[in-house]
Amino acid sequence: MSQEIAQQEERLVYKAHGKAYTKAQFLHYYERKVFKTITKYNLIQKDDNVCIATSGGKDSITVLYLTAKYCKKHDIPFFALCIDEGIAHYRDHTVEDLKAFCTAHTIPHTIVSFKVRFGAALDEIREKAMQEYGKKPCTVCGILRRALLNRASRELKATKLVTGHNMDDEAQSLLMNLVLGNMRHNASLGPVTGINTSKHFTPRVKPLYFMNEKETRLYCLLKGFAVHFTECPNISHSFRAVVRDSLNDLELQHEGAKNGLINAFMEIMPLLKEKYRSDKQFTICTRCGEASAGAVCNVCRLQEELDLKIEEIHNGNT
Amino acid sequence: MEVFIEKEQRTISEQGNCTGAELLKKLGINATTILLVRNGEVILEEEHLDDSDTIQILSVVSGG
Repeated sequence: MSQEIAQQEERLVYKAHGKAYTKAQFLHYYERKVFKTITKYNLIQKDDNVCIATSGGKDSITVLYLTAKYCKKHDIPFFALCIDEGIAHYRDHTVEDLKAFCTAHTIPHTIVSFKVRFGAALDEIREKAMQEYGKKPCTVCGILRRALLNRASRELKATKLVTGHNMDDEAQSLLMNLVLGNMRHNASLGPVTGINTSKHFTPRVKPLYFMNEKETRLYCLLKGFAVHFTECPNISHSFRAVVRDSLNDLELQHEGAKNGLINAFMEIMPLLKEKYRSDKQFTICTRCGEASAGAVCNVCRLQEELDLKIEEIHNGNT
Repeated sequence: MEVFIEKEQRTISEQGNCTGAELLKKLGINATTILLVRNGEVILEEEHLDDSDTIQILSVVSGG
């Protein structure tokens, strides 16, 4: 090994919690921590059929790569599922990154689009949603994407749905729910999402739960994953962006703040889930038959307001 | 010293002979939101930067 390469290998690339890491040490630390999360919280089991929700961004490419690695090692079937919301100059780029990644790593994948399943891309409905109903793009996107992820993963016979949510996402959600006075929503957080189980929902799990965004971007960079920086053009409308920036300012002044928040939450999470757990069956939407908070689910409400057409998956109609 | 700021998609010229942390502070960039790359290699913010270095400030915040 040349002296230059040796120096590069010894150079420190990350520092946190009083420890410094070279490239090799960091990659080992990152993978070990993710696999530990999977095993400690029983996120994936031998008899699962694992669906990995993947947008093509840094978090979902990372969780796709590591979940695939874990599943291959333990001989557990898996596939990638991408929801294309139809956001120009954002999703189109990440979908192409994802296709290339899956091809390079021989990962079976399915892409399901808003355009096909709902009759309209997000770009086509966001203005109407904002102007006529006061709904921010993130609200509409969140409702439809979550519903589509759930329905598509169920239709594709998945028993677990892996998402790339990381420590930053969870800390932001935690704070947002606290500010809004919504502890019930916080009860749904954690490495395993949700409070009650239901045949209507594919259980969601988060292997990157204890990894922060900086670590994940660094992992992508060091592994040479071709992930481009992209930020959703609708993010500026969101409360989440405000909380995200505040948390990052706090982290700069108090290193470990995000870790502290999540660790504190993990202590009370079992109590929260117990408090909000219910033996009551989910209400079923009177229009589409999906689980619903009320008589009509949010997707059907949006369908009526925004004139969406709901299509089921039929042999490749994605 | 050429500095590419990924989030803003622009390149600026800055004087070297400073640390990465000093550069970030001057540019008003929060170190927890970026990765610092010097001449193609990831470095810690405390490392020294020279006039001849090519710097990339990569954003770790992405998505929606």
